[in-house]
Amino acid sequence: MTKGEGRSWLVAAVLAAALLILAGSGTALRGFLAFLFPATPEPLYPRAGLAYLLGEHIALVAVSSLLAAILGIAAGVVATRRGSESFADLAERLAAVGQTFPPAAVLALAVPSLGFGFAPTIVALFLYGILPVLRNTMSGLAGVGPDILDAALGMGMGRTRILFRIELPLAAPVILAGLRTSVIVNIGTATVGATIGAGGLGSPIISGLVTQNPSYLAEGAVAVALLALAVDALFAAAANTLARTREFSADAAPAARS
Amino acid sequence: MIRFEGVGRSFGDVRAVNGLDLEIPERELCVLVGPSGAGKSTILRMINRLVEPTEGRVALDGRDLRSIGAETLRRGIGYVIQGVGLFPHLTVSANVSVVPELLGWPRARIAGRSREMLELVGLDPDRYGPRYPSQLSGGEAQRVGVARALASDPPILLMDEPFSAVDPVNRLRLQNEFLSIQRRLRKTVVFVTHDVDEAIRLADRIAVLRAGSLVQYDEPEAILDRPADAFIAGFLGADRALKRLSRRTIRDWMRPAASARVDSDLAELLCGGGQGYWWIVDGDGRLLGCLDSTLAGCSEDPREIIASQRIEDMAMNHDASLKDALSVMLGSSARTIPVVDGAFRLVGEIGLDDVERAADHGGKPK
Repeated sequence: MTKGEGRSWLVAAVLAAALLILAGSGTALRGFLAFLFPATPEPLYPRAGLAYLLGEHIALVAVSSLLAAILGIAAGVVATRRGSESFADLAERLAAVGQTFPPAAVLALAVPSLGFGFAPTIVALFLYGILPVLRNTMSGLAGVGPDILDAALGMGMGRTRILFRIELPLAAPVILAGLRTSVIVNIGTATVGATIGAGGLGSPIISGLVTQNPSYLAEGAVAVALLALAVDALFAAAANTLARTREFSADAAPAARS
Repeated sequence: MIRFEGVGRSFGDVRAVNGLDLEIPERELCVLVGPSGAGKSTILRMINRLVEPTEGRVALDGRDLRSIGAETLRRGIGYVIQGVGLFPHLTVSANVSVVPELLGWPRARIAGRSREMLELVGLDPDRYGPRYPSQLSGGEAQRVGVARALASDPPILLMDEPFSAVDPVNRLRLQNEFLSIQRRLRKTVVFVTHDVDEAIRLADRIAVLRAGSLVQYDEPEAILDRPADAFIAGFLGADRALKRLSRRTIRDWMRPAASARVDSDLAELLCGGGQGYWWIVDGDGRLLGCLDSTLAGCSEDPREIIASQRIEDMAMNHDASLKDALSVMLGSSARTIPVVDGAFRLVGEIGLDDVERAADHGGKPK
């Protein structure tokens, strides 16, 4: 493990620990918010504990991002196969539309068919998160050198083997970067789900806005921000580890270059 | 034997290959040469079915290639390309092991084979095996490319401008190393290049192509002696005579040399009244220098004369070409130079008149 890589995992661990401590210890949080907002009689959002809200939020993001990842990568693979240029065009356009739509509008449109709560929020987040994954999968796969593919084909590897053994591993860093963008954006966007009863860290924020209680607002906002930072740090650390095992960064074996 | 029978290939409106009839004999190195756009790579890629002919057929030992599955066929044919195409996420030894793994060899055999192949191309397996392609120089990467292509011991090797991205000094070295590997392994090699010198240096047989058609197919000497038309003569260049010399090795044209041992009475050679020169060797026959009675007087110390000479700049290895010998003669303004073997033992001498004789059309070694 390289120095930079170790440090990136450390940062991720510290941020995750901070988030867990914040969510796990109600008294510390209460004291902190009471100190910030002495005028509020009840500094903590009363209807659910922060740990519970955090759990709901992570569930929303995890389910929607997993769907976006699976479908985004699959569509990206299909779009880059030979003879599917028209599909590539269509897929990218649809995904772009998904991202252009404001999440609030997607929610509003999804509620009549899916009702209130978890499901419509998942749909909105999925539509919102698929574009970065799709786009990066396509550009990552397109970035695999023609010589590499020619050599693989010429040595007698089949198309499927080339995809899984050569193309996807080589595109992995770019795909991972797309996933990172998708997940981070969704962590922020998921707060909107609270407006239609999906729960999550958006609940205290919405409630704080409605009741003009800055303490609720801060409780949710700080937690969301910390979650986004921690997950981003995890992705950064994973990207570093991937880069090392792929040796794309030359610093792991400085003596070798001749 | 690889046989093209009336093969044509179009890409849309473009005719890449036209009515090609070509037989590539087993265990020979056949070079496809021609200007860019002549269809060389297309022809090469038809042999491993990366390109299918639109007319005619390609047969391997009499079997139509279309009757052999593309992947099975390719696993039995080594493939080296200009861009090398090493897999950047795999180590050098993993890259070399790709085809044996596809063929399902047992692990231990793959590991041994990968080491053996790296040694064959002159790379230390312990040093280079664990490296990644990004840590190799261009020449090293191309060696790994050759090792990878040879790993499953395929009878056929396809090489598409393998050395053209390498600098001239390294290219020459890679060519010579490849030639010595080929002398040992005797693969059927189909080699594409646009570099005439490379073609002449390597080929057992040259196929000259122009605009998708075969214009001449013969041994390099024959093509140099009798280019079929003005296009080929122009393509070969004005220095055809020199190119012919680059095909001829000193070994075939040298003559015995007069030598004297360093521990004999050297002063006697200079003072005995005889005219001439002697190559001076040590007890093992290794070349030390030269004494020439027309240049050195009786009063001089022969050992000092020898010590002051830089004979290694003049001596040629017997495997070198006559072109190299001529170059040394012109450079050192000596009409005759010594020829040595790999251990620097004197094996003969070669003179300007020998080179002239070899440069004559149809000149044969004595």
